[in-house]
Amino acid sequence: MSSLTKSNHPKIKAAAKAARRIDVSKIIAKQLPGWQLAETSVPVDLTGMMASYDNGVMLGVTLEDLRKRVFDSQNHDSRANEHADAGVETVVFGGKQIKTVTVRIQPKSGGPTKVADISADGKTIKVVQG
Amino acid sequence: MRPREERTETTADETVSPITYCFLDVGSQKYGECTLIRCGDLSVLIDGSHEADFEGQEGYRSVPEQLEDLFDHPPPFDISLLIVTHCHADHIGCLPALVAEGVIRPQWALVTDPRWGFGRTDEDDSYSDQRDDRVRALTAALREEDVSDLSDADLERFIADAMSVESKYQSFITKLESLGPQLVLYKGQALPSKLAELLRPASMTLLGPTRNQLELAAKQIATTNTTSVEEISDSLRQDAGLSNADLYRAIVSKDADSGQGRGHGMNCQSITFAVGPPGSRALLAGDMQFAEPGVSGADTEVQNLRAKVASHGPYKLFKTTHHTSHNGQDDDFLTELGDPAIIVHSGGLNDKNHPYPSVLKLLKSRSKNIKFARTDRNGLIRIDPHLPLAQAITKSTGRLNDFTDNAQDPGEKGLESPLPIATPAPPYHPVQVAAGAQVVIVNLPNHPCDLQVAGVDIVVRNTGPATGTTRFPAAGGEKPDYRNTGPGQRPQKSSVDVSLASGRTLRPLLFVTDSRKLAENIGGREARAAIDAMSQPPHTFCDLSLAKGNAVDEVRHALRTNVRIVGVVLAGGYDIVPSPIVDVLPPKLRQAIGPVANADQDQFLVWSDEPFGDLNNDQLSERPVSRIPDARDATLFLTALEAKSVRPNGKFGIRNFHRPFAENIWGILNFPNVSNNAIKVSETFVHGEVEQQEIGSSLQYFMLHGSSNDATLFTGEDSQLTTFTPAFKVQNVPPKFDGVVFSGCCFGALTVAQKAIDVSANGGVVAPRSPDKSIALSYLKAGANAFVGVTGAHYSGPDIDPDANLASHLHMEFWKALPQLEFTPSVALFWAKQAFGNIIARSGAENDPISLARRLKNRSQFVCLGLGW
Repeated sequence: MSSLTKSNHPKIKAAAKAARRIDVSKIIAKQLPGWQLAETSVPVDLTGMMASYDNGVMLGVTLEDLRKRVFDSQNHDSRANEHADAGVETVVFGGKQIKTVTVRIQPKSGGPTKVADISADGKTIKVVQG
Repeated sequence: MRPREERTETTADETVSPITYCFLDVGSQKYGECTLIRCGDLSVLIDGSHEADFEGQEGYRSVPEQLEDLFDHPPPFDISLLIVTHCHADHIGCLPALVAEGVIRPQWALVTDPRWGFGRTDEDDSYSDQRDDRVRALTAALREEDVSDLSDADLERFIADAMSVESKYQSFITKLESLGPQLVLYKGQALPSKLAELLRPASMTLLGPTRNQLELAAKQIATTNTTSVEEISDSLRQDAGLSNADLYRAIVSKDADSGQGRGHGMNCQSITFAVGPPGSRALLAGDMQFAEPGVSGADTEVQNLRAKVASHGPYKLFKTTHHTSHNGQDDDFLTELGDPAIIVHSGGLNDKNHPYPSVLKLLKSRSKNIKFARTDRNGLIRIDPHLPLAQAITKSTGRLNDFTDNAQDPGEKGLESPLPIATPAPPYHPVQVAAGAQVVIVNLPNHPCDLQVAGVDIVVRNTGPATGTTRFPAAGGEKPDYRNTGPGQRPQKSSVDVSLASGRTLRPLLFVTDSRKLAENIGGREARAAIDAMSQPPHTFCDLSLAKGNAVDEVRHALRTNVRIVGVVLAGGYDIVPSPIVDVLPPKLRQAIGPVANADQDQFLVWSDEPFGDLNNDQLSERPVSRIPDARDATLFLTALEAKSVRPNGKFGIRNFHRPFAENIWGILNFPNVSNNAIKVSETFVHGEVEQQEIGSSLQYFMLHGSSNDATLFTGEDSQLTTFTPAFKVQNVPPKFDGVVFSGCCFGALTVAQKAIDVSANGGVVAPRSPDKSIALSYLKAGANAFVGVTGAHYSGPDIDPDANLASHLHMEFWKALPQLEFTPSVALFWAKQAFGNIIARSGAENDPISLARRLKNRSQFVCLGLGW
């Protein structure tokens, strides 16, 4: 994970490049008539957030934490892993890089917004939210 | 969340009489408000419409005439409490005349302090005899609401009348003192204990404003007085020939250009009350400007009041503030109130700006979920919020949900004859007819209600010809049936007996609640019974009201000191046991995905109960956690606490057209005695096709769209993804359900009005949803053992391949684990999360940070609502 930074990660660089190359509005208009590009959220400043909320913001689990749970025998919960291992021989997701541009879209007629991934070549839109 | 302040509250009585709210017709004159609340023998009159309403405006019934209709007898009318919310003329109105003429006889009066109410601070002495009448009159008129659109003649009359408002108010207070009512000049203090006791049957809670807010507002009024005098004097020096009307309009138009308003100070002094029991609570806040306070330095105070108001919700009835003005309310505020189903506007018809057009538009956008009544078009309005929505509103004329703008369509008076509305007589009159054995004659009302007479519960459910069934006290008799009570109503019983898990033997659990807050939300008796049940061996009970640390730390400590505990049950909503907000993106991952995080509606911050089960601070839970949200509904809470075991008797499911992976999940749900019916596909399936036989199935799976704004609907989609189709509505939830629901619908398990990001970014309090506003909560109220779902936007995608799909593994692991774990949903979710985490760990997830982020989010945001054991 140490190599995952905004500037140097290959997927992000590829996505940024793709975003420059394609006009997402046109792609949406063509492939998902009835939908339009929606505004994304203004980035929040997470520092110092939630001072007023009782339980505060807690950090979620990291990939390293998950791997430690699985591979560290001292923390290994045999029942959980026994169950988790059942029927899962090989896990391959993440093995293949898919270059996409992520957008938020909304039906023109109203309704909840959805997150969609547009392929770098602009040929497919995949609504991944929901 | 801000700590709940000590407040002046009249805790709900054990048996609450139905409460009726009557919003009097204030005629055609602009503004005006007069509300009568009745609850058994208790009557509260709030504000007095316009001064002219004592005699009655042409074509309209006077206030005394309307009161006679409501009380069903000639004056005098005994008023338990008279309230003047603030010192504007359209609220003081004809109250001085009503008191002086003996039309009303108040026992108590809670009124805005006259000095602060008219801006008479120590620094301000602008009101004095040295000013000439013209300056005084115009200064007084400029303290009032903007009436610059009146005709010249009406405006001149208004200005002349304004001069005497303050002196008449002073005389009114003197009169009250001489007549003997117990008088409270409100300066932010708590209610006298005797008055609080008097208001107890109506559960009336004084919410504010605080002394500080009142003082800040008073200073602003004082400044308004001073500047008005200067502006008027300057103008008259330049042109003494100006008419009062012209001068008034010139000054007001300058205010409008600068975006200022001179009435804000008085409005922000409005005395604010929450009234009524949970489930049928009302908010009455005068002209409080919750959305745009407009008082210098008072933003924080108003924000605090707004948070306090929200913390006492949800509300079923909301009387819009400041005559439905844009500065009174906005969309967020309505959400914070819990999306009130009944909204009432008070004001006259000759008002182009009220209801304010943008607010009308906002209300219209909510028209599917609200009933909107307005005195300018519906005349006298009576609201009985304890009744089902269809029966809760009685109007004199016009139609409900009339969102017509008065500027566009001024309306016509007299198209329909206004019908007088009578308040029903007190629900029963016990009459002793003989010595010895008592015979009690009960006059049943013609609306549903719950009564208790001589220790016997009487339940009236049918309207029309009065009928009733009797239910004897539970002690030594039949077990009370909580499910017989209406939505949001408390069970009306003389005793409460809770059988945890319907008497099943459960492994040792840790039950966590805040006993004080739970009692506030569902009632003291119900809370005590629930806590008794949760405290029985082998279980451990953790009372956060006695805790010094935060909830998570307390629970972790309890788990560490008792290793026998196998799971945690959080008893109460987020306002009782605060839910942690989890940032599911470690900083490096957030940095890696960059702007993709902003496309997510939650920005990858979610409500998650998982930290409660994390014993060793590794951000992974070691114990299953479930939560029974109370939804401020005793019936729901106690029913969920008594949940039965899940016995597979059938399966029912609906998926979106573009979520074919759900077919694979569905295939796992094969059990003996469970028919292998197909999962519905939302391309063609709509909510109206839900069949009674299927909906009772104990295993249910939804993979549909959901919304953070509306938890009453899961939507499907057509094959071209051009429209959302209503696939499942809250009305489809079966009345009784002993099973488990697993939902991949966005926000399906969000039991409050706010997303985690809303609260984390903006602070404030959470507003719990009520069962009728949430499919998940409705399932719990129907008896569900568990509703498992997500608190934020869910990720899955159209891929069938489970390794490509963002949710498939997690869904599958849950349904695989459930039968292996004796159909215990809380544990099944716990194992599914573990399994999903292991799958992520074994993958090359770092190569696809965006998918990793989405999977981590799904893993964190799934929660188990309900007992889950």
